[in-house]
Amino acid sequence: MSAAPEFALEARGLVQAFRGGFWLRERTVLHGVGLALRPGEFLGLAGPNGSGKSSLLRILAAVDRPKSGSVQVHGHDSSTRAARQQLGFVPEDCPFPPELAGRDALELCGALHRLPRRERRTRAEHWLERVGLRDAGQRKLDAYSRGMRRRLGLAAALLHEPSVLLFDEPTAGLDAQGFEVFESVLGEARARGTTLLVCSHVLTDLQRNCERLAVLLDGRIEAIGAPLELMAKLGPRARVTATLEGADQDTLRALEATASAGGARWLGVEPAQTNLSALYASLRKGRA
Amino acid sequence: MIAPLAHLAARRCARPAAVLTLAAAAAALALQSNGAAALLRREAWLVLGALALTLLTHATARLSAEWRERDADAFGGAPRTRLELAATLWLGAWLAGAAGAALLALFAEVRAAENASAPRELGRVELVAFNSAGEDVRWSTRLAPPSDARALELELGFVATDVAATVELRARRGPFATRTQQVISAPKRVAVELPAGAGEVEFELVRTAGAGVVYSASGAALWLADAANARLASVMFAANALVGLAAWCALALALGGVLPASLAAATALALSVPSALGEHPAWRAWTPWGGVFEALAALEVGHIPAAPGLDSGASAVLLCALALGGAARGLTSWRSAR
Repeated sequence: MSAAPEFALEARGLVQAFRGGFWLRERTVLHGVGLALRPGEFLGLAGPNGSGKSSLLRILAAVDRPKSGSVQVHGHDSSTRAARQQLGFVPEDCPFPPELAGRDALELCGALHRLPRRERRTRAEHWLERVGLRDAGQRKLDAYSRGMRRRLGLAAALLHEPSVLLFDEPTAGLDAQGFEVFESVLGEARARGTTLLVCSHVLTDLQRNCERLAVLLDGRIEAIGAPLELMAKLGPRARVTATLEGADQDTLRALEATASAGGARWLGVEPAQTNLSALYASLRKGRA
Repeated sequence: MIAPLAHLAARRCARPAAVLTLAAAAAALALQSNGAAALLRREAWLVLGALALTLLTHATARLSAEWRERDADAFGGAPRTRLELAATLWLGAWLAGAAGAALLALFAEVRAAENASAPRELGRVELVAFNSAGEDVRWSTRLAPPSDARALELELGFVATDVAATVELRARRGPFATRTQQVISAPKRVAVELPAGAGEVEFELVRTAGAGVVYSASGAALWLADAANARLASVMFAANALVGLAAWCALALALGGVLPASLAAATALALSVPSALGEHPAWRAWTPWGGVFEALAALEVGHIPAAPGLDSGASAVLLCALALGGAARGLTSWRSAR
């Protein structure tokens, strides 16, 4: 009996290049990228616009083929059915066919992942409900807002219960409710032991939770480690965000004093993103 | 087969704009329904069929382009081979075409409104060309008819002015013989009943009177079966169209992966021009769409077209297999390294 593979997702020497312009000149966007995620790990992938994050993620998700290099999912090459069955990918734009209704799009995803008809219907209903799109399930996707498409993309990625989940800019275009759905679904996935890779050009609340953070610059992984360790490399310029619940003004003043005494510069207090949805709920309740 | 994907492909091949265009053309034809039933039937198939085929090949070529530009981003990571995806998209497009052909058959028969019987073609047999060149016509050949053939029909050409010729077409099988005599002063079809018995039949064409150049106009003869209800004509035409559509759709899908959709559709259709012109019999016999043009010729003379031949079917299978292999290569995302 062979031992279980050490990594849930492993990329080796990924090179990606595109041809463009009048002379079809080749431009390399990934230069031998290597990455390995252990089962159940949560890795954040950060980098500025154009650093190659999406290209890397699309290769890891088996959507694109690299020019060279390989990707393995639980020991299977990413081109195989066994590997693809374990991958879930939420692309940045969630470009589902606009002529389909949300429910049909999910059923199509289920069919592509070989779910039996009855099973995919049941799961489509479940995930539409879970991401708050049950009432919009019959509407065509060209009538969906960007945030709704993102939520549908999340449902589509989770429909076949993958063990490795990849997110490209997950919070872009999401409203407060969508953000909350994302966070809770992500929390459930983590609890199930799903391996997560989230890529973003901003350090979102999601990445606050990641165990390791990889920084991609100009197509190369320049640094990888625990987020706070990486921030420490910035020295005195490093900024951190602490999220508190139930803190009153006195608590915040005490915190500020402690931070200042420790030599840190206190930059201010701002409400967390999730507060907005709580505010909406409270206002709705008041209106009712 | 991935049913929801095939359904999506079929929907994309029957977009509302395309359906409305066809409906408008059908309405225009319906307003002008005077003339012989056979011609009305042929006109419906020719005009609407050509329009539908153009729209379908273009929509099929677009399936590849849409996959590259958008669908691959959403579904490209699914555990399916690209050949599975290509075959499913092709099947969806073909099913849309089949539904269109069924509706067209219905329209053509309603428009023709004919309930008489018509000769039913069984197939074509190549002949050694003959040309009297002013001398006495005496042409003969020995042929093995299909089991349910009842007659052989020759298409005769005639060149002369102010004269006519009397020709006799004879058939002999063992002790049994039949003959038919026709006076011709212009190109004409002459058919002779097959004599009783089994086995090969010896045919002979003789000019018994008159003058003028008599020659074989098509270089082929037609086997005819017992007459059947003329409404069968559209059914048989649709059957031939389905074989042709399979190949056209597969080609359009393959070409759509490397060319803009309009160019891919035009190229797929242009490949069938030699068959349409019918300059060489092999272009019709051994091409998947050859049966469509044969069927169109049958409608023109009021015959019921022959069922799709094995040769057309075999060439369709071969071409579809090759084209779907090519189409699968094209179903990558636009960002994939090739």
